[in-house]
Amino acid sequence: MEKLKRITIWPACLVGIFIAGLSMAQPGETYMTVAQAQKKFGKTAFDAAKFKAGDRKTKGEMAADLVLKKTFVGKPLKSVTELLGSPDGYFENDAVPAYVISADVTRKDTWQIIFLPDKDWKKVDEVKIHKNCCN
Amino acid sequence: MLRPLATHSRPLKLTFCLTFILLSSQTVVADTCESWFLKSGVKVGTKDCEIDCALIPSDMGSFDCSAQCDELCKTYVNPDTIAEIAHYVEVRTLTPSEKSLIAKFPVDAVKAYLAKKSALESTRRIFGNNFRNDESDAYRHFMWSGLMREKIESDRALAFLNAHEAGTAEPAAESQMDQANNKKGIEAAQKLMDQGKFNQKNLEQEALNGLKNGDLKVLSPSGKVPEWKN
Repeated sequence: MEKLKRITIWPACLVGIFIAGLSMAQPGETYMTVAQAQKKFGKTAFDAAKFKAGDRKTKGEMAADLVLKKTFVGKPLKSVTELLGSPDGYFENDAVPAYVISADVTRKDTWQIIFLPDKDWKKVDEVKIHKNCCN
Repeated sequence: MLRPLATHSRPLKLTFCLTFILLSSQTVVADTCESWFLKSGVKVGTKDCEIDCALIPSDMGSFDCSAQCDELCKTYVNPDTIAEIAHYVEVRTLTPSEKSLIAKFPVDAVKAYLAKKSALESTRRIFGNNFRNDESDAYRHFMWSGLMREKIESDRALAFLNAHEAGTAEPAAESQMDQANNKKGIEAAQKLMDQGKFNQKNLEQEALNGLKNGDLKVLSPSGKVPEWKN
């Protein structure tokens, strides 16, 4: 009986892992975690004035800290562009503030930091690092 | 090489919302007939759809479905499409006006979404990235509106495009750029349709020609218009 249980449990586990793997591999938008952003772009502390004046590389270096500290979450959406300047990226709607943070956009690996609005488009609901191109 | 851990947005709320809207809509026929129609493999949008539909074998559970072929051919949306949309759409980026239009015209909303997805993919293929206020932005709007026009009437297409701009804090100049390029896209699609030459490739070439000729509005031009590529 024990042997039978072992025989049936292992294939069931393997099928479960396979299905979980398939669901993870579904297509969709790609995002980067804070740890990955720190490793790829750096860990410089966020400074609004430096972000606004800086190039894409400078913005990238502050991106992880900006997400980690949730500096803009709950703040008015328009405060993003007031403090960080004109966005140059795009995510779903032109009015979603998005800033490109990859220094070399000619490579097919362009990332941007996006400020998702709440349902009324009044406040920042979440800040994420999103792959602009290409999935 | 850093391998990004892909995390995917799965707005369950939207899944429920779209499913509810579609199922509660008067334009969607009974589930039994939907399944009957889906299993047959008959394609919606083809000129023979209604004839092919009428010829689908039926049984006790679907004996009266052929009477609904006109509805099924007009309004049926594949559940896989809905599932795909629910998987892709970041619901927070829909404006209140867009949500209202989705509730009123769910089938056209699906078509509008699919046109947008094609426009984004086309922009990535031609320009490499989707940026803001530059040539890629103008191209994206032209393509979205043109592809949408081919699927739905001009007024409805324009309503979806305007709803996308409404209720946000986008600067007026940027919104005007988007609307000007939307209008050009609809006009170009209409012209191609009238000539019987509408396809995505021709629309893409119209967009690139429009950029080269200065017909499309670009607030922050990079000065680079790529050549068309497959």
